[in-house]
Amino acid sequence: MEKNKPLLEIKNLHAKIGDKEIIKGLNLTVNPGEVHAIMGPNGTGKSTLANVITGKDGYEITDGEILYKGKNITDLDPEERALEGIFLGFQYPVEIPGVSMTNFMKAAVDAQRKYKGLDPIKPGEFLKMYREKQQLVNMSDKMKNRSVNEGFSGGEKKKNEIFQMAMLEPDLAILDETDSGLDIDALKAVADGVNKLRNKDNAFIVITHYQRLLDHIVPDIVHVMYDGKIVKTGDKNLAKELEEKGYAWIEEEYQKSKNAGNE
Amino acid sequence: MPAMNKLYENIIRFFEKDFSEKIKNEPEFIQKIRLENFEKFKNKGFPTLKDEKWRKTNLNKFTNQYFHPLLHNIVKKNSTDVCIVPDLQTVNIQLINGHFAGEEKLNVLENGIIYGSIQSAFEKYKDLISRYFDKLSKNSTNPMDWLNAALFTDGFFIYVPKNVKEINFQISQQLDAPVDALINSRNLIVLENDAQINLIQCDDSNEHRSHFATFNTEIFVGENAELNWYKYQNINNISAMFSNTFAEVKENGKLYTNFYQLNGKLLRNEQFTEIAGKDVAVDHYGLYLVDKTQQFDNVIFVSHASEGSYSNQKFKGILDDSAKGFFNGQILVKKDAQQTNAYQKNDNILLTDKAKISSQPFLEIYADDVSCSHGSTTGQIDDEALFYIRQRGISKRDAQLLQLYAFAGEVIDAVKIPELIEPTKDLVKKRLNGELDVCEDCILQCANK
Ligand SMILES: Nc1ncnc2c1ncn2[C@@H]1O[C@H](COP(=O)(O)OP(=O)(O)O)[C@@H](O)[C@H]1O
Ligand SMILES: [Mg+2]
Repeated sequence: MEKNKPLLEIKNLHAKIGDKEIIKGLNLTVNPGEVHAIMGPNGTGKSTLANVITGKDGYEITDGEILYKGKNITDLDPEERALEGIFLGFQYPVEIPGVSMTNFMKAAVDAQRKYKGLDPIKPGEFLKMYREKQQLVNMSDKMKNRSVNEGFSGGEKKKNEIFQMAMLEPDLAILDETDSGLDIDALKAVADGVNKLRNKDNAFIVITHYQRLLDHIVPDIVHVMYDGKIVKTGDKNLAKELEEKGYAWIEEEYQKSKNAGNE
Repeated sequence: MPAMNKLYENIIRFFEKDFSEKIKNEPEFIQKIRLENFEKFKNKGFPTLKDEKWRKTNLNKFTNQYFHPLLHNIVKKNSTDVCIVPDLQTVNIQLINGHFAGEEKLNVLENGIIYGSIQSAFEKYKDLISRYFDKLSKNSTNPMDWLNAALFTDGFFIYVPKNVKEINFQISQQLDAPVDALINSRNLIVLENDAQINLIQCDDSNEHRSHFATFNTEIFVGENAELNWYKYQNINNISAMFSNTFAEVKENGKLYTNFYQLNGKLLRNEQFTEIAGKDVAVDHYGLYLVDKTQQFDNVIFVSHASEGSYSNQKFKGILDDSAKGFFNGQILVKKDAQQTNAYQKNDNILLTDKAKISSQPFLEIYADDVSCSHGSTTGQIDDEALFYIRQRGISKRDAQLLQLYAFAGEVIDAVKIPELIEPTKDLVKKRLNGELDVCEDCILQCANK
């Protein structure tokens, strides 16, 4: 990859679910090596943004583009985007009854290898890698024979997302409220996992409500999202400010500027 | 008035003209059974959409067709050509067009097991057979059973003496007629007290001929005896197969079935199980994978006549394209059957808007101290799960297969013979992948290739 070329560039993105516009002209540039935090009140469109970037069905992009590694990806299937290195840590990880964690991960790893022209991973090698990555997030070995997310506690589900990220080593990881519902130990394990995977070539978009995760995963850039747009961007101190003052002032400022624009 | 159609008229004419001559040498009790059943069939004819259990199963496509009644085994096959489960010691039985195909028509093993052609057994083991034959099926109200009893030509007979255990049978049942054919075959399995056997059966066919086949089996499980039966059905898409089983299980006995309906134009399995003693355990598992314009039916009836017994019916189906399925499951708990545990569950996934399943679970309870449950679900592939899986780089097709295979898992995981687990998994995966073709030998063998 060329130096200084953005990993992700979102330009004037507008997206709808049904007749409802949720993303309303959003701009975002993420460079390799950066960690971005996106904060903002509930219902602002953070998860929608994550879904649109990863290609979930049911969204219509009405304007703008999403460039990933310089290419527009809006016509790619979710699996193609994943194979190109985009990972989503789900806000609500889905239970898949009857599919064991190991079978699931083996299928994912092999799909990735096939995409790169490699043979399926050898069982021994796979198990070794599996164990290493489990340790990274402090995940119990017992989980590996269980069905994906089935009967997992809230914390286990979130750790499982980070574990999968560690297995797949994406270039761009979007973590959607991976911190919510976690106790402090689980939070540290999640943050630890992210910090160990951070390097100069990959990037993270961490969607969160709370400053506390950002104490452990220190972001380079903090955005505030409101009403389908990024309305404010700053450094890590912006997160601290939000923690202290809440979102009300953002809303006020936004309404003011909107009114001003209308006049 | 019976419904008139080509097949009905053809059968009536055939029985009255040719067949009644052929059976003159059979023991009198067999002839009597044939004639009684023929009369019933003649009066009623084939089931129609007006019959409660046939509301969803239209036989017209077949009953308007000509099928040649096969009296003898026309095709000769090498008798080693039976299903092969690697590493499993088995006694092999091959049936071609419903006829026992071994060189020796009757075989007696060192342990006392008798197996072979039921026609041959009528003569040699007349007393033994007359004690069991038609005892369970005689009250059937299903015209297909009457047709079978009137017109069967051969079938297999297995007798397992007291205390003989851990014997595996492989049964390869092949439809391989050189013309479109009517085939009726009849089997009898007797397990004396404390006996235990496993049956592994494949139903296969040639590619090009239409068959209309009834296969009835009566099973007697003695006290403390155990029968485990695995069946894989994979016949061509222009044939119909009706496999009806009647079983009686005595005190402490166990009956376990695990059936896979994989291919065929019309497959219909009816199971009637009578729990006739205390502390019996009955399991009926079924997986039906239906696509194109196929239809697979399961009609299951478990009757608890005695106390302290357990029964479990678990049937799962995946229906694609314009496929149809029919499930009718019934649990009857009679007045004296206290402390009964009886369960029934039917789950389905419909992959298209055109695929249809009709699921009818019934529970009829006359005892007060029982634990019973029944239920039925019909769903689609879970879109949220599909996206989750695809987000990990797995193709849509593989993501679907992963979920469908997981759905089928409850039936596959119930396989108890270790050597059979991998072949069963392979078969189901191949079928879900659309890679399972007609196999002229045995589908288990073909899947291994
Ligand atoms: N499937 C859907 N259909 C209709 N509206 C939806 C759907 N999913 C989300 N929304 C709406 O989109 C808006 C943004 O939701 P979401 O992206 O989940 O916000 P956030 O993640 O910031 O809390 C909300 O108003 C929500 O009600
Ligand atoms: Mg959200």
